[in-house]
Amino acid sequence: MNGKYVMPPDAGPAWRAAVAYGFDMSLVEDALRLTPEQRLDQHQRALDTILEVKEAGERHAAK
Amino acid sequence: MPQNDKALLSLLKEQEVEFVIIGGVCGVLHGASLVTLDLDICCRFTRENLRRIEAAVKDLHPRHRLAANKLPFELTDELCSSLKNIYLNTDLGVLDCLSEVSGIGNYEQVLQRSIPHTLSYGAFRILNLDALIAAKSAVGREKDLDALRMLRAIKERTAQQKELF
Repeated sequence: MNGKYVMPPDAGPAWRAAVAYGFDMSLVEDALRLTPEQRLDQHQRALDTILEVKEAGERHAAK
Repeated sequence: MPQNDKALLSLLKEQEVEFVIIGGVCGVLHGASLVTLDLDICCRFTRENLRRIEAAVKDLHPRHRLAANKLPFELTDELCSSLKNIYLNTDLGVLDCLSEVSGIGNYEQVLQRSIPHTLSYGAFRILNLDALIAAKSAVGREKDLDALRMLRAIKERTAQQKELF
């Protein structure tokens, strides 16, 4: 089940500040476990989704 | 318009363009979970290297995206000696080529502060994390300040993890 983000016990001030700012740092934790190439692939998938949604919105607005 | 960074990087590599990956994609490679809509590179603005960039994007209908009339990207010797930055729209997305980076300096200085990364489609250089933080700090736009918070956290975390091993 989804729960609240559990801060790493040894999280430093910058990490805590990023969480406090509102970033979902669990995503960064996940990214740091990936290789750089996997990070870029993941970014591409997110980008593709965003651009698809944007284009769908533009098509809808044009109707 | 699509944005295919992998394909753009592959084409630049094929043409042996001398460049360093900077900007948001560099942040992603370091582990940032922010989405960026363009590919920013810093490159040597010699005529040879600019011609390589031209060759890399020639089949992608490249256009100067910030020019009012969106002129096609067609180099001349005169242009090669006067260009400082190239901002392109291509069939594979946005490609911004800069001759220098705020907070770092020119291509040589950027190169000195870069690290190698080998991907399955080639070996590339990206700004090291400290340099990326310096560049984002120097620009200081709202979105850069957001990215800075995340990059500083990544720097801190990776330093902690290095201490553990």
